[in-house]
Amino acid sequence: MSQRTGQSSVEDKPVGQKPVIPETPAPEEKTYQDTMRKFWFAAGIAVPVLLLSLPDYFPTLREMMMGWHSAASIAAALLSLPVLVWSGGSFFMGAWNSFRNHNANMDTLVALGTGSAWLYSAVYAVAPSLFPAEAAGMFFDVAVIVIALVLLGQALEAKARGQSSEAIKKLLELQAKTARVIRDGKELDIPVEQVQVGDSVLVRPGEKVPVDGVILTGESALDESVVTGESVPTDKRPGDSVIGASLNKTGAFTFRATKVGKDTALAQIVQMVAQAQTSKAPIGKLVDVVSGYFVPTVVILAVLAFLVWFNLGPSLNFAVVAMVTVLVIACPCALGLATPMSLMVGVGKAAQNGVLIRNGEALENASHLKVLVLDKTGTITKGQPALTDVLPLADYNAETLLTLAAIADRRSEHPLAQAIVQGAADRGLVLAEPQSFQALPGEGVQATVDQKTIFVGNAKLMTNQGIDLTALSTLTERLADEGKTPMFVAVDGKAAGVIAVADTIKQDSLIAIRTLQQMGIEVVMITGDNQRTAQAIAHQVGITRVLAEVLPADKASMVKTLQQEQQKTKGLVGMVGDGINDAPALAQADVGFAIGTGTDVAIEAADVTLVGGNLRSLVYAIEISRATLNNIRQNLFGAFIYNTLGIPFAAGVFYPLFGVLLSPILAGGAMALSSITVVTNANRLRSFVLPPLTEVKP
Amino acid sequence: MNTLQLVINGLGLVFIAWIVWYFWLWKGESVQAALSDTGIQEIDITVQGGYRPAEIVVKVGQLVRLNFTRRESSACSEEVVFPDFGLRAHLPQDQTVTLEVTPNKPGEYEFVCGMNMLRGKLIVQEEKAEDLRPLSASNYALQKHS
Repeated sequence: MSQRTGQSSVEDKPVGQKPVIPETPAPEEKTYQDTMRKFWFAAGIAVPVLLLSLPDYFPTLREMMMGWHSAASIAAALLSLPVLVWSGGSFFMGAWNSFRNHNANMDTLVALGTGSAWLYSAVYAVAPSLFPAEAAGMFFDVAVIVIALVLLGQALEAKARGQSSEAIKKLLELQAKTARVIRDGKELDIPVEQVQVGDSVLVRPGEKVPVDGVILTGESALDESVVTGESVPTDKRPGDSVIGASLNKTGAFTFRATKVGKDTALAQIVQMVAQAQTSKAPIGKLVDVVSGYFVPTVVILAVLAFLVWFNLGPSLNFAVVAMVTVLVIACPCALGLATPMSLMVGVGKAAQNGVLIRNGEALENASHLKVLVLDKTGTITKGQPALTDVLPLADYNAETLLTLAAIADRRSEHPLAQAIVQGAADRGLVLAEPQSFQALPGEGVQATVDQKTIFVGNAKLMTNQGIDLTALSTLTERLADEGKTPMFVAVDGKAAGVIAVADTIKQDSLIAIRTLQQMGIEVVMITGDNQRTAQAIAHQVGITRVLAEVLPADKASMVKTLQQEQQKTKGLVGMVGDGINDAPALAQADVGFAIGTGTDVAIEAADVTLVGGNLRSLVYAIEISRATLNNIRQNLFGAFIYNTLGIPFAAGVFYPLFGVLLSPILAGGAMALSSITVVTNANRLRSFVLPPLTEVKP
Repeated sequence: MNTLQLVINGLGLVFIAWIVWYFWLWKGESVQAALSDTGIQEIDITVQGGYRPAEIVVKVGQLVRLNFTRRESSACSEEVVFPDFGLRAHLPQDQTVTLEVTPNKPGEYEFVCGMNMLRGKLIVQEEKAEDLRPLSASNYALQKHS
């Protein structure tokens, strides 16, 4: 049986339209059950072995037992052997296999610790005369209980790890299982895997949209929270796009499938999250180095502890206890799990809230941001400019001016030009075709209408064409101060009037920007718009630093300048943008945030994609990044401190001061607990919620 | 210090020196992946307390098929991760899991177990200029059950 679970450009095998499920999560439940069976066996045997070992703890009891003590020791040895072989067999096999490959891991430590404790005790049980009198004492109970505790730790850890990868499972569960397609006029219920691009698909109220597409007929409100994290339903009508796995709330509609299988937004998101969860965060680099040397170092320390106490200690037993305790207290797992566990939970949690973080490095950088550059159009504002004012000079009336400008702008794809054309259409004006048309990037358009040469565009265009704007200067300043973008119209080389277009500020922009500032981040606005308009918008949302009249091509160099400013303090600069125009700046920034709109999320080249399309999710992205990084720090700190304090304690470093040596049983328990603690701490991130943003009045 | 102590101490120190040599100074051999007629580089890797072979030499820009077979029950090796390629695969015991990557830059790419303890390396080497093919950044996981 063969199952493809990813995507490839190499078409060497047939590929079905199956939704992509990147690596199914490990079957932690089976691991848990297998390990628990072994644990219960070890725990059950531990009781009689402990009872048989009591004489070792109470010399009076040993004296009372006299000849029976030796028999009890042999019984304990025989009873504990199956625990080592069956319950602890995987440790010994794992240790042996690692050893053959010149590797050492946690199995090595457990196997060496419990194996040496058992062997020492077995030799003593059979031939006590070989040992000096003060060496009396055996450790069968230590071997059995340590194995039981480590197994219990592994089982609980497997369970907790299952929860850590829950985010992807939850995302996958959201897919529709079947789709109702219309083929040859008939409605057919087919598995979602069989839907093809171009199929007409019917969705009724309460059903899930099976794949991505565009509405053909019908209207409805869709809950797209699965992808955007935004639970308020979005109204959809013919021509609007729909995202697979979103929930149809109200009306029935049909749509044409445009993306199926591995190409759907959800499949891309799942793929991206799975990849991000495997990535590394720079903060974990030290651990990577340490973990390569960790286990052999611990073995060396255990040998040294034995030698020191063998030479200077009270008894041979003492040296053996110190050695075994060092071996079983050290926990490479806690170190190894510290970063990836938190990253897995943090990235998954973010995805559930419409924030797609590309990798661990992006997450770490996002938590260190000092400056955030926000693109104005489409990021702070809705990016849907609308016509607001038509102000002609004396020779023209408003209708003529708007008609001329709209005809000139008809063939332009620029959003401002489109706003003028739409405004003219809304006012019922009839628009002819221009006789000629030329787009002038960064300036506006030139067209011929009724044998007249028309220029529509910004002040730079007019200046370049030598058109005098003195008569319009007061009007223009007023419009710009209101946050509107003035577009000049010139006819046959003379100014004819000014048309204003304005964008609407997104509902969340003000509150989100204020929150970012309270978080200690300097927010900078960047725009191609003129200085006055930019200042007016910036003022409305509480931004003081504005980079206006920046051509798309110059945005990246502006970001670079800001990065150079931050060099002294090593602060990082993030850039938030929404379009292809912003791509170089997003790439230049330390963290590029793309404001996505659902279906094209996965093709974004940014470090972080804000699927919801609002600035509140930007705050969420930075807060979850900070929370995740804090969580990683706690885990790393805990794991390092645990090992750096635990190992010397186990080795008996504090014995001369306090006269106590750690019991190997306690050490085994601590070891099991330390990796559970790391995983549990990482799982705390699952309950992360964004604190309510402080309401502010504009 | 009596003879027994001398012997024990001597053995202990020799053991420490041996640990340093065996785990840190020992160098494994690199193995070149086999190249098929279709231009796919393929290699079988046994996962058993480590990766055998642990160093695999491949050519840049060509599909590499890595067949991992985990021959143990130890939980330590149940996952393999290629951080540079964003791939993570669960390795069920005694089953072959195939990972495919197309490295588009020469260099050394590490693969590790889920806890970063076991390590292997994909050594991607430059081809001669005339052998270069169009590069692809894609990669995918393919799972088969034997």
